[in-house]
Amino acid sequence: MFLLLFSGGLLFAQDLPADSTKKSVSDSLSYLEKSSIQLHGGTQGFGISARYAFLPMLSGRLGGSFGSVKISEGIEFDNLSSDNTLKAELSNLHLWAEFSPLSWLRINAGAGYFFKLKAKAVTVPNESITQDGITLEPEEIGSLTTEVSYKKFAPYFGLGLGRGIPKHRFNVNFDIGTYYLSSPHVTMTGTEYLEDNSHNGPILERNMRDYRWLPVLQLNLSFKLSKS
Amino acid sequence: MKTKDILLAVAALLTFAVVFYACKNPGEGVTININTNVLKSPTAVQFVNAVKNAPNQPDDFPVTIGGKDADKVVTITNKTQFNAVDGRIFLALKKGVVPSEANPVVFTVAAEVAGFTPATKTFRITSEAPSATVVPLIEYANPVPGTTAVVENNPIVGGVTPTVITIETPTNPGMEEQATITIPAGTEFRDAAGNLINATSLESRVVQFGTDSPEALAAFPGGFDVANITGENGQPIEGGVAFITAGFIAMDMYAGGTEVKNFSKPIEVSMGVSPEVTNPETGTAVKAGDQVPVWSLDDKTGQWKYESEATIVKDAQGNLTASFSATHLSYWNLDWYSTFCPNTTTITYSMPGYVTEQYQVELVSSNGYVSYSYPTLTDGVKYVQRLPTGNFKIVVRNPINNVVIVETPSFNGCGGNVTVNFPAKNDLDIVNVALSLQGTCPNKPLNTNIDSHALVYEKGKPRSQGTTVYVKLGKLNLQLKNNTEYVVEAQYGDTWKTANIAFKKQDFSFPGTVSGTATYDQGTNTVNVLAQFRLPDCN
Repeated sequence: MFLLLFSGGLLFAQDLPADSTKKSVSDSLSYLEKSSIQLHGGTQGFGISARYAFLPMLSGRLGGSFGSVKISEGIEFDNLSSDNTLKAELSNLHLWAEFSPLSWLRINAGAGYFFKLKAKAVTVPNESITQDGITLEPEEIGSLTTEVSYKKFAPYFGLGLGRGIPKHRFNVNFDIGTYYLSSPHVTMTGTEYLEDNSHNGPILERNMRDYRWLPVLQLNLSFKLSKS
Repeated sequence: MKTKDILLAVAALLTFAVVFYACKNPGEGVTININTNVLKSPTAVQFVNAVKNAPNQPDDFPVTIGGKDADKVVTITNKTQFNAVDGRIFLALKKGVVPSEANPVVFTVAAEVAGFTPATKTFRITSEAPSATVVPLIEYANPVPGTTAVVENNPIVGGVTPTVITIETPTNPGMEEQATITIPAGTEFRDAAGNLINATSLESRVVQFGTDSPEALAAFPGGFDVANITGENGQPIEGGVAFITAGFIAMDMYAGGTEVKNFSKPIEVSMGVSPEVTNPETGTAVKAGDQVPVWSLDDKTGQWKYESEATIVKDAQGNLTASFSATHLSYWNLDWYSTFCPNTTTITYSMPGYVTEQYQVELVSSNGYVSYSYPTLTDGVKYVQRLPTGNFKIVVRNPINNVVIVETPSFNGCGGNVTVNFPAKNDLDIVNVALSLQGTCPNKPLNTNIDSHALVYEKGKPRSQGTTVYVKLGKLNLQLKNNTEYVVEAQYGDTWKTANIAFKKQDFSFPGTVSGTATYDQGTNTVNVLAQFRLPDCN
């Protein structure tokens, strides 16, 4: 929306009559001076966002992030020696407000709409099991798939270090904060001899009920749209 | 600057919290359920006296597993020593064996039980589902109606017949046909190794099976659906055959206590044939001049073999008989046969208001094929079965008094699906029971991997009439009569536990050391039972 408003302003400037061109150009420059775009990378993935300062100390920021991460041994179980790989995927569109009490400090609050926010861990036994003289090799035992999902909306709050709109053309600044997610929904499905484990989904869900903080540690490379 | 330091400290603290939070293992305290019940197709085999409620029942005896897939069979506890206890043995397929209709596992269960005809039953396993089979045995001293038996001793000299020996089965009210076995003079009796048995007496045990009695046909050794068979050309008949019998005889001989396997000369067997038998080749009642193939069965391997062709003749008394020469002792059978449908048929039993128990099920084909079995039926149960080609009807009888409960209209055996609708009945208060069984051990998580056979029967009734059920992963659905006392015998590993249960739907009480909860849901007429018991082995 912010981008639409922003680009709408530019188009409006192009359609104005000649006698008001000076004022329009001046207005446009004013818009550009108050705007920046940035590339970012961090715990919510990589993405792009745009910022517009409505007031000297208040900006709006609209962006999107996409990311995925693989973690080995993300989940371990007491009675099953196993290897596992957890893959988390995230994509969101976020809209934050930034309040800058100091030139290098921003206080951020907003929300994200997560098109995708889920994690999937595949657990594979790595030791054989013997009972009643029957040995099951790890590859025969089967596998467990644990899936974690969240609701799509999540509020965000955090701090920003460094100027949101660069003093000159570029700057580097940081965000540190967190989304507050819904309580996760967890399912577990198994194959072969691990098939009957769906009841562990709610147990994991209970264990993970406090897994609601999605930390954001993010490096931003900002670019001011006006040279002045 | 001071404010900046504070904020940096807050940021560092937040970072530490995030890292710590990410390192916490969500799997803590989660116990993964590993189903160690590896053996598939659990198969309960119960040997019973073919005579209902007979006091003498098969007890403990060794069992032989034979046939082409014998090496794929183990006991339910993964052993390869096979012994029946209390007339029961529980089998399964070895780890890794996956049966299917395309790759059936075929094996034969054989047993010699003192006082009974040698038992043999061929199994054709096509799925991993549990099954329970009742194998009726003929007791020489108390043969089932429709059969006739004789045990006779004759003198021999040095293992050789001094004169012609003639053994004749007696007639009885349920069996009008007779068999005559003639052993020529000078016949030598030999053991399995082909050696002459130097003995002075010959004990002959003969049972003739007629074709007019359901009990006799149900006890037909090996059953009528034959998986392993070689034809006239000595080659296997692929896919097996369905026998349409004209009569059957089981002959066993012992010379001085040693089992006779061969003779130096063929013996002559003449078997009476019921005029009620339909010749499937003519579609009419059998008559003199008809020909019928003669087959022999190796009861240890379940292998049938074409032997000869017998011509049916009418004797001086007007009785139909078929004669053949036998060169060895085993089961001899007069059978035409038909082939099986290429596809299976699903038979659904719709029987609300009827108790889950054994029923006598007859599959009767228009071409003369008849099969009898004693499956445990419950409302809604489906059986996927391979039927011979032809039009069929299914007749379900009360197994105790043989009264017909339901008879279906004729249907195409290759048609795919058929439902057997029992007549409406509401005189019994039948209650559904949904049982969840959990094993407990001190300081260990609940074990829900309870896979076990159990035998359920009404207190006061013979256990041979019991219903064998299978608890899979701790779950069992069955139907019981309200306000009825039951005996439940449950297997766990090599041990059996017996419990008496006074079943009341509104007031379910747990037997002995079993504890749990039970609630009755009137809407579904179901008692939901969660039962816990201490596992005998917590290791």
